[in-house]
Amino acid sequence: MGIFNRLKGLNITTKFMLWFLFITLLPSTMATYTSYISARQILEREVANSLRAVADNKVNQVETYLREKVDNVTDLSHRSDIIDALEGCSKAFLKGGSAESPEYAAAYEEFRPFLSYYQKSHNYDNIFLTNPEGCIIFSSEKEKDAKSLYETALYDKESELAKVFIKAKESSRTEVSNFEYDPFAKKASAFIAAPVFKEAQIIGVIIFEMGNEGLFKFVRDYTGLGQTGDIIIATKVGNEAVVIAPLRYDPNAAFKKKISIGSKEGVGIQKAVLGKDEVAVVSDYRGEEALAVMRYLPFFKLGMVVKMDISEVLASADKLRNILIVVGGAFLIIVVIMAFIAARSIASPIKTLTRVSGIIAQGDLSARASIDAKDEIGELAQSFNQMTDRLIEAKADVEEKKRLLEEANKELDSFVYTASHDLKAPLRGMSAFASFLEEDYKDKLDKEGKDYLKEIREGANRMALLIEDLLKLSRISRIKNPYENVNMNVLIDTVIKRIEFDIKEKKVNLRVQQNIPIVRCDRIKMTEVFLNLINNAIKFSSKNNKENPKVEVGYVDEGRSHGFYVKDNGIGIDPKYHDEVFGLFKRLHTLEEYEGTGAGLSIVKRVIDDHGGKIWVESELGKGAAFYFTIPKNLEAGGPNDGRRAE
Amino acid sequence: MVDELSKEDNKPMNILLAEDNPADAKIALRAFGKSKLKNEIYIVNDGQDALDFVYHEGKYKDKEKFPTPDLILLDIKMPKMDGFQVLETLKRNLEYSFIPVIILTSSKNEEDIARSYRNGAASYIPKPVDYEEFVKIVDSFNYYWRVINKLPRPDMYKEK
Repeated sequence: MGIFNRLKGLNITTKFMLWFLFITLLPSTMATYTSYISARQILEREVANSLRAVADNKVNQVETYLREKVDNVTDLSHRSDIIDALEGCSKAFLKGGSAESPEYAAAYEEFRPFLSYYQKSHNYDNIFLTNPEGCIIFSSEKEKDAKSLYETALYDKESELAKVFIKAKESSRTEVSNFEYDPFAKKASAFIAAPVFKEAQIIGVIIFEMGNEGLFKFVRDYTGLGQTGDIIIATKVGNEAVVIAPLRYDPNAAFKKKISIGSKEGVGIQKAVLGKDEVAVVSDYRGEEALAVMRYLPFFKLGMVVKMDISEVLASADKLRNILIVVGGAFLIIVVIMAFIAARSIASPIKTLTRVSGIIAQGDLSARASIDAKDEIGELAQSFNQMTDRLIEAKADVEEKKRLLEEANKELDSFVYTASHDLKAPLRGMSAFASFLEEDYKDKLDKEGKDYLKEIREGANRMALLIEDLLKLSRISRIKNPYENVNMNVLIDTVIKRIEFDIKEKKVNLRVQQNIPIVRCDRIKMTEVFLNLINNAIKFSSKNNKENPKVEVGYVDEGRSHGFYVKDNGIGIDPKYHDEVFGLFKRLHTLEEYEGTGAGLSIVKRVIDDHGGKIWVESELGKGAAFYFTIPKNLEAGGPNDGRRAE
Repeated sequence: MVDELSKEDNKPMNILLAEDNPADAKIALRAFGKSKLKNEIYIVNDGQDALDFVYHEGKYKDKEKFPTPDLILLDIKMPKMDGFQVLETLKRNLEYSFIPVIILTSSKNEEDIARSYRNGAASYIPKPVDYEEFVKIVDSFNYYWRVINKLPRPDMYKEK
């Protein structure tokens, strides 16, 4: 609502401009936004693809690496010198009874050089030999494993070493353990165990300890991973994903970084260690939004995530966005200028029309709109000019009529002047000369002659009264006094004072309602109304023989109008005359019964009509009469006024 | 008091009546004639004559025959020059502006009444149609102007 109302207040150029801008900018903004969004999606997809390729490659590399190791271990387990070494150590261990025995020491020294050679040349951390029962009977890194592991059975059944031994012995083939933190080597290691056979009899197991450096080689290769790309490898330990290789942002993460399953960070690696294989935008181990490819390596039961921060993935989309903003800004400026020019070119003829019509409205009819356009606005201007021509004609017509009216008014004025000054002179003559006759020829006139003269005099007087009332009615129509706020009680009191003598003489019981509200009306004419109505009420109730005249003046609020009434207990009016009583010089009674010209109610009705009100009478013969009239409440102060105020 | 005053001041007035209607003039003369207080009534028939009479000009040069009036009774509607013009001219003339001018006319028009007083009329009397009424008015008029009212002395007319 507010916006629309404000729009209405704008000038036409601004409105056109806003519409142009709206029409041009809405689709272009939508197109730009759509292309930006699709660019983002394409980018995301492409980056995801390349991340997936990197991940697949890594998985491939790791698996190939491990498979080579396994093949290598399998090959070694079949070599006769290994078989001899296992057999030799085993026998010496049994014979000597312990690792400290000279027999075992001799055997150890005999086999150690070539086993150490194997260990070093194939990059293993350690080589263990065990008997079928699980006693470690040889370790190439004897010094490191100070607690002489190999002298006893594999003490911890849950250790990766024990598990891989059991698996290899039971399956009779080469097995690989999970990675496990080796507190002595201070790094993660996995074990590859292969059973050793002699004449189809298992005589022991050879176990190679393999560090995780081999894997780091692949993991720390960030080729194709941009600035924030990273590879996370973790194993599931209990309810945690334990990172086993250094991270790009945390080189010491191996076996230190642990992410509990279900936490909000490192969602990708959580899913990966649970065996999920998907691509998603997730929160990484630093809490950054990242595009992550998840993989699971069943061989080692490792989860792997190859990820890149979303900010980098979308860096080029952001660059695109910045370019779009700059280009869009330039576009906006151009569009605003164009829109302004276009709006002006459409609006300026309209403005011209508005200006010209304003000039015409102020009364200068010679103004014309000069618009060359051949379009609808041009047509409008043409029609407008034609309309103005017609207006001039109409105005001339109106002025002619006004002149005629003024002439008629002047004639009326001169009629009134004549009527007031000249019509009564002959009457006065009639009256006076009848009197002269009566005085001067008193003796020569009989009673009948004197009666005739009396008739002449009364006729003349009556004619004078009629003329006087006619003039009053004409004056009341011609003169319009400005409306003012009138205290009606005061006005009615004034009227009553004027006829006080009559009221006392006729013993009138007059009641006037108090607290009548202030009414906006023509005070002088309203006085005339009450004077006539109250006078009439007294006149027509004064011959009531049963009781004294009773006159009641009251007020009724009629909503949009003020309502007044003047009631009496007089002779009443037959309903068939209710409309006629307001007619000029209309009388219902003979002069002998009630004097008067019959102009009073005409004057009253004229005044009420001029105020825009209504007047009517409610009465029955012999039951008194009530005159009602209304005055609208919405009369403007000061109006109407046609310039002829009463003096 | 009134009697003493009467002896000294209650002498007949010279009244100029400007009236174009001969019937009206006759009525007025007769009504004044009926009154107990007698006055000298001089009648002129139009506005121009009224001025000439006051200024002792034209046919009214004889000051003995046509003395400066004590009062002027002026009709409004008259030929040549109407009552208002006469009233305005007289009141603008310092020498004669002292003479009270009483409008005596048929009109009860409020515009006419207002205009008369605005221009310096001393009184406004609508002529009644009824002759008996007129006689009563003349009686009252005479009583007022001769007994109650005090007029300026003739030698004061000649103000510079």
